[in-house]
Amino acid sequence: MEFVPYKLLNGTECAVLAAKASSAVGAWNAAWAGHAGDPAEVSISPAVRFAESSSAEPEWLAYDAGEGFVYIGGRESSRAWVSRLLSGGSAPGALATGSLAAAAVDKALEDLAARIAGSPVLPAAAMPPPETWLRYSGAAWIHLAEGAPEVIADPRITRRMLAGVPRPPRRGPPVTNPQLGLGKLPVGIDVWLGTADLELSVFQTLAPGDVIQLDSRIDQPLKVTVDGRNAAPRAFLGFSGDRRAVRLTGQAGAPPRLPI
Amino acid sequence: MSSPPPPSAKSVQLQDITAGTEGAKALFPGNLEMIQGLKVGLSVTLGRSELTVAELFALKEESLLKLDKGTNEPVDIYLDNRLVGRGELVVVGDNFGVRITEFGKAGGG
Repeated sequence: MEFVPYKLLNGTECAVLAAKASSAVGAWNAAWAGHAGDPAEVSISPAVRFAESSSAEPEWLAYDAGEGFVYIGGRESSRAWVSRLLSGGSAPGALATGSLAAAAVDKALEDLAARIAGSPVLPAAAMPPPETWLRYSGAAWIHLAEGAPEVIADPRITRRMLAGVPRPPRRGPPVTNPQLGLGKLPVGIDVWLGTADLELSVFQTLAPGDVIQLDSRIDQPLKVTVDGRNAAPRAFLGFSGDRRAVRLTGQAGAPPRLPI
Repeated sequence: MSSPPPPSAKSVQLQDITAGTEGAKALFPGNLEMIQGLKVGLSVTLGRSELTVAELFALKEESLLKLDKGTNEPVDIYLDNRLVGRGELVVVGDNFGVRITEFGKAGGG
């Protein structure tokens, strides 16, 4: 099941069940293009984009959704497109010139809107003000894109179109990045002065005052472990205030530096 | 000259064996003499720093890390993760070293 995102004239995002909208447009094509008698295959091109705002040549239809008018409109070019479709392309614009032909185009557009909206489309008593196209959330927009009709509909229409369609179960609140919860966990870093391997016989005789030479050179950084595991960074020994401290380095073979 | 005949070889049949009864006499009763050459690995730590994971991930090249030990405190000597002694940080030739100031006694737990 495919839901296609659409954007309303006022910028609201919504979704339309693609198959349902396509089938509505397909049915309209079959009904109206068949009257023209010519095109066996309806071509929906070139793309016709409807103006979002006030137009000098507004062509519009109004659909009473019962919750306020929903306006479906477009420019003269959309009428020309429908006219060509109705005439089979043989007489471009011919049907749009006369009042009868214009009425046929209106009827065709109404039918298209009705099929998409799923309810009859009624001509509005008066044209909505231009700003309606920008602010009215009920605006719907039929977009005849190249090769594929698209429908931009009011969420109220969308809800009605999707009524009865099984929806995926509602999910809980989105989960967050688990790493965000790890930041406060404590972790220990140990700095090691070095190691020495002694024979057991020597080890058993160790006593205060004895000196053990370790394997770490004074001009090389020291080993660091994080939570008991060896870490790649190493450390130069020094002090800060009255505390022992190290300066970290990512280079195992860093330049010589005397400690402390 | 003819070569000698190859020695005859037979398959080995292993027997099912079990351990003896408890309380028998120890064969190596704390005899360290025979393991005097065993190597004992000592590790010396300078101190530790407790951070959070966020602070750990924020560490960069040349970051300064203060340890939990004062400059004059002894370093700790570990044997197999057990603290067995303490000592003073020294330099022996070109290497670090430790002069023992305190060392655990055998049998001291």
